[in-house]
Order: sequence, then structure tokens, then C-alpha cells
Amino acid sequence: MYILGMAISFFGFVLLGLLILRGTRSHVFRLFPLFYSYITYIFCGTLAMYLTLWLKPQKYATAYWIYFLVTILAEFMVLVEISDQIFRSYPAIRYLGRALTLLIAASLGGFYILPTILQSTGRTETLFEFTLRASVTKAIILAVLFYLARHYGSRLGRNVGGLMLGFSIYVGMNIATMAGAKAFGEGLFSQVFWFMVPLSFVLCISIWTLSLWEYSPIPERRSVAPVMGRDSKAVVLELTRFNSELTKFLHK
Amino acid sequence: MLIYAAIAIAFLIVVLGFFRKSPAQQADEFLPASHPAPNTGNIRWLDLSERIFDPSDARWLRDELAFPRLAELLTHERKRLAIEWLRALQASFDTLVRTPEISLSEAPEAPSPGSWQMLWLTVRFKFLVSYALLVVRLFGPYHRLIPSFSWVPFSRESGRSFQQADLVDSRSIH
Repeated sequence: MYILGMAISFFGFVLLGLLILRGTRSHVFRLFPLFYSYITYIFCGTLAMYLTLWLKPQKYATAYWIYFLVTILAEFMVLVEISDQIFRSYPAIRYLGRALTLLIAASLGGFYILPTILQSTGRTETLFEFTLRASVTKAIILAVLFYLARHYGSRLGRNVGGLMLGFSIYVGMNIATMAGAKAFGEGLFSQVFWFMVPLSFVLCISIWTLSLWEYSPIPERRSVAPVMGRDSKAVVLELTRFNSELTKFLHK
Repeated sequence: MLIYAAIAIAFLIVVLGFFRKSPAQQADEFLPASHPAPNTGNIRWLDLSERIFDPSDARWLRDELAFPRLAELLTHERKRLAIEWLRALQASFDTLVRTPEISLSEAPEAPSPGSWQMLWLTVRFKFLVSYALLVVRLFGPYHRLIPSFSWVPFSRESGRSFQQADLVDSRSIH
């Protein structure tokens, strides 16, 4: 089981390297800055973990859990990137996804995730609970983003669609794994469940590598609106006009 | 444990449902919505709202011609028209929001205060139009949309004091 886990983890590491290499070659890197920052962090973190395991194996467990906790927080960057990309071509709601992502993350972080650390019973239980609640928060954010993308008819394209699909599978599997670990205890987790974490990540990375292999622009719409393609200033004026008309109407 | 398993399964179903599109849905995706989106710059369309939300016709029927049933019917019909008008305004706004921007560069733009301002205007409009729809649905088209606070003693006093202050100011100017 240990060798299998290590093999999965190493495969993930190779895929991460491939993703970064491909990103720099195909210039997708600069189009998804937050996502590639996260990927670079994971790549460096995994490398540091391998070095720790090789040079100071007695400190590996502590180093791994610290890296794991920081990674859970860093994953919110992927959500911010996804939310930015969904509404990129719509000037009026360009930051809607980002605003909602930050709002949901901050509110659930304060009322749902943080109490697990403040009212901790034991280190392992706290880690499981923290990861589980952070994953549920990410799933909620993703569900909201999916709903908004559908509501506004946003076309995702291969790149953003792949980002969302890969991350959704990872988050869904994490929720199931951590819920199982919490229910069946640390013993079963260290024997069976632990390799589900790198497995879900490898699945996610595989989808990301395939979808971000090359830049795929968002498909053009056949017909969208009577007025095609406005610039931001025109949209600000239109939005202000709509608001002033409605405000006038409300004050009657 | 069970609740989290249900969350995980429901979440994956939502995700798969999102990526699966029926052919009918794809075909209908760009058809106009059920509420036609008028141009807000159209004066006649804006004038229409004046007529819809004007209670004088209903009052005339009820008070001067003494036809309360007819006035009630007119109010009911105006309520339907008011809801349609507000929905059409919302549809027009949604069309604007869903209009993609033609950008020459593919690189992500740097965050600008203009984008946050646009988001604020969008959220504000959505909130106000939802509120207006709720008030019209609940109380009809002739109800005040912004509640009057004249019954609050503080507001009356403060209003009076503001008026007095204005008078003092105007006297001091002259």
C-alpha cells in the first residue's frame, strides 16, 4: 500500500512538472496566473516533502501536515481563478464570481471552518474535520459558480471547463475520504483511506493537464444580443442609466 | 458521515449535470427570453410605466364614477402589467449584462475600480428590481415602493429642524 501511494504521488509530481512545462511553452501560464501560482507552489512543496522524507524522515510527518494545511488554504486560489475566468468576457459582472467566492469563503471560514481549530479535541480529529469542512466550503463555492455560469449563459471552453471538472472531482472525493476517515478513525485512514488523497489529486491533475494542454479560446456565440461587444465605459453608462431609471421609479 | 456522503454525491451529480447539456437546451440557448427586452432609451416604453403605475384612473372609476368592481378589475390588470413591465426591464438589463466585451488581448486585465463599480451597479439593480417585484406582487402597483417614515417622531422632528435650519440660512443670506 505504501509503495502504491508513493507511486501515485510521484505520478502526480511528474504531471505537475508537465503541466508547468506545457503552460510556459503554450503561453497558457500568463492567462491563468493564480492557477499556475498554485501549481508552482504544489510542485515546490511536493519536492520539499520528498527531500524531507529522504534527508530527515523523522520530521516528515510534522512537515507533511503543515504543508497539507497550507495547501488546503492555497486551493482557494484555484476557486478565485475559476471565478475570474467564468465571467471574464462580461464586463458588468467580471468580479461577481470573485466577490462571491471571497464572501462565501470568509463567512464559512469564520463560522464553519475556524471553530474546528478553536474547539479541537485532538490533532488528527482536528485535521480531518478542518479538511472536511474546507472541502465542503469549496464544494459550496463551486456549486454557486456552476449555477451562476449557467444562469448567465457563460461559455466555459475547454480550459476553464477542465479546471472546474478536475477540481470538482478532487473536492468531491476529498469530502467522501475525510468523512470516511472521521467516521472510521485514524487507524483505518492510515491503512486504506490515506492514498485516496493523492489519488484524487492525480485524477484532478490529469484532467487539468489534458484540458490545459493548449490554449482553447472560449467559443464565439452565434448571436448574443442586439448590441454586440460593448466596451466597459459604454456598459458603465448603460448600467448607471438602468439604475437611475429604476431609482426614479422607486421614489415616485 | 451519511450527510457528508450525501453532500459529496449531490455535488458530483450537480457537476455532471452541468456538463451534460441536452440538444434541445443547446438549440434554445440563444433564443430570446419569454419576456422581450425593450430598449430603456425608448421614451414610449418609459411613458408606459407612467400609465401603468398611475393610480388616477382607478381612483376616478371608484370615487367619481362609483364603479368599485371595475376599479378593482383595472387595478388587478395593472398589477399584471406592472409585473410584466418590471420583468421586461429586468430582461433588458440581463441582456446588457450578458453582452460579452470584445477584447483585443487574451491576457487577463488588471483589476480596475471600474469593474467593481459595474458589479455594484449590477447587484444594486438586481436587488431593487427584485424588491419592486415583491412589493407589486404583495401590495399591487399603486403602493409606495419606498416606505414613508413620516410616522416616526424622530424623522418628523429632524425634518422640521432641517426646515428651520434652511429658513435660518435663507434669512441670514438675505
